[in-house]
Amino acid sequence: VIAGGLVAGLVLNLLDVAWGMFVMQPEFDANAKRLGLDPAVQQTTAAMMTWIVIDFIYGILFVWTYAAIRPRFGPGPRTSAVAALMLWAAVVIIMYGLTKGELFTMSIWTKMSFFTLVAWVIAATAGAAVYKEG
Amino acid sequence: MNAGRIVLGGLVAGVVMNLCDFVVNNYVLAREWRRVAQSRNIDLEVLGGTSAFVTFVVVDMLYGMMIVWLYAAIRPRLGPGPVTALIAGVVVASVVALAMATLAEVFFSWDLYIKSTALMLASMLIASVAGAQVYKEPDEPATD
Repeated sequence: VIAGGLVAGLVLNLLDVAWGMFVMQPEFDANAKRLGLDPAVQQTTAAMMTWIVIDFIYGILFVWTYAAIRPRFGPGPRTSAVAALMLWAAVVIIMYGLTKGELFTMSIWTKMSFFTLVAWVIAATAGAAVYKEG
Repeated sequence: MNAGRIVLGGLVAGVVMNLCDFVVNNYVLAREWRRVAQSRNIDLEVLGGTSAFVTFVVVDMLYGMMIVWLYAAIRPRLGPGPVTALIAGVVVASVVALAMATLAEVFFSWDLYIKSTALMLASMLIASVAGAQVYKEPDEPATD
């Protein structure tokens, strides 16, 4: 679970950097400005470290969930996609709630939901490929 | 898996979470959330409005169903009972807590994050045990 989780976390970190820095950065900056936030706070080493660690923990959760639901759904990429979808739904729902509280725009939520869906399925599949029953 | 029981157990868990959230957000952390909204130019009318209220009620119901679905999915591995229900609750709460952690320091303080996360965890754990109590496999005799 740990080895698979680290693989999934690594994949997730790489996809997050590509998406966050190259695609979403202008929209994130505009949102920060709207809320009166200092965009520099989000780019400090501490903030970056938080994101990296969180992605690795997500990776471990993907593979743990995959291992836990395997007896029910069987091994393979379909089950890892189910694990990723289940956890993805939990995040998308809370982010939608925060959109209603005006912390994010609907545009950011829609794009983030689509990206995390793709990224999480890829990362969970990579992590699950490493997982073997003891 | 028993879809009907997942929905029923999820609604039970959702009601429990809604009750906990109502107490937490209107009494325990109300003043702190109000301060965050004011400092972030968020309209308090919108935050306390019907649309936001309905959204959060539905969000809790969906979380309830998600927890009971996960409980049903991990039962063959971990066995039925409250321990498995608590594990399902911890997993869902962890995912939400991690998502919220990405917003801490930027949108709100770590202090408020820790308080709200601890209360959310407690609420989800109570809800998961309540919801799992209702779940039965299709071939399992109903005892409730």
